[in-house]
Amino acid sequence: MKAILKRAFGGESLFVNEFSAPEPAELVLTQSFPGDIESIDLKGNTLFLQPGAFLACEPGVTLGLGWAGVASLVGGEGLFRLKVSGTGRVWFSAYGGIFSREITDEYIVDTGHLVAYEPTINIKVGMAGGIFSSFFGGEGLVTKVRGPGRIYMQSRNFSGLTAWMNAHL
Amino acid sequence: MQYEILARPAAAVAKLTMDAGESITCEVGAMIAMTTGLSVETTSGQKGASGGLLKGLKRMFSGENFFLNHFTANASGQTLIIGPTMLGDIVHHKLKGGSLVIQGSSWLASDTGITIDATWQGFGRAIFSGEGLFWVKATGQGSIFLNSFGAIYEVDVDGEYIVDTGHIVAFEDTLEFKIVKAGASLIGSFLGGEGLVCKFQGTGKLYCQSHNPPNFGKLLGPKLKPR
Repeated sequence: MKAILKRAFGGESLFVNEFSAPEPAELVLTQSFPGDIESIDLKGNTLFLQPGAFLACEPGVTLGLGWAGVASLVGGEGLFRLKVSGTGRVWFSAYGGIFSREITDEYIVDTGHLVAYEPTINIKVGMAGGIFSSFFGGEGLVTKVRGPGRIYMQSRNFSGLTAWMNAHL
Repeated sequence: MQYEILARPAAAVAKLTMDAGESITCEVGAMIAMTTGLSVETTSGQKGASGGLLKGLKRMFSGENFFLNHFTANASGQTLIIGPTMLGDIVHHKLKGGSLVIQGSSWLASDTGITIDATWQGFGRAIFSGEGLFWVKATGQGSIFLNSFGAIYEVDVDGEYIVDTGHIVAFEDTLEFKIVKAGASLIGSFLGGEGLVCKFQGTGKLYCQSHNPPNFGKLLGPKLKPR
């Protein structure tokens, strides 16, 4: 099994740890923050992962860095995304619980909650309500995803935690 | 309105399915995801009510935000996913009259049958309970969603029950609580790390949380580098 641990993610370089077992062995992997891990079995299809979500994959899976676009950056999801494709299992992690939804038309996700999505998903940045609601309602900008396709969301986001910590410093 | 609570208890979210015309009032920033047939309205008070300014200010003192978000479904089958900022649990409480007194930051959302307001719990409790100065008081008939830091456990109090300060989420107002020292002697109480505790009396439901945000903050504080 080829497991990958990435330390730096932003440029083109990607550090990877490869674990192989000459005899039956056990490997325990986890992310650095509390939350769920989801496994997907790729059968020639592609999945986009947000920076930091990737945990490990089997050797048949190819990793690539993709340009996610300005909409993704403004939406708090980063300028780049990880593209996983090929055949084999992929594990990705989230801060909090992971839940998924099959999108048929349009759906709204708060910034920082989108973890992974299929390539058929189109991402735009929008406002949750009117201008007043968006600025005073605490929702700010939201990600508008358009299907068809499946998305994976996390139940908490880091900016919420850091805002709480900063308020207590 | 139907609800489902997912990812319990570590990082719970409430998934609400709403019919056309149904509305829910949420804490600012609670929305995680939603369908496009929901409209959002931000006010400082109850939906459709005037004089929200004072209520908004009172709510700020109770540890909540000045503003509230009202989500209304424009079509049937709309779903809204809400959750708090911190890791922890969510419970649903069905209020059938009477009031529920909620610790400042534990109120997440309530439907239109519920009026929320800040309530003053007295000096002793304000200073020693480990909670905020004001509490949120929910009155009426309908659904309330509460959130916690850590897991939530409920206790049906009949008689007396003691909870450490900082662990209260909410309680029915048929319960009375007092701040008392944990042990017989004051010194023993403080040296034992328990200090003061909350003693509930009466008959009613009490929700407690397994962790305590101020204690977590105190643990992190000294480890953070000065800026």
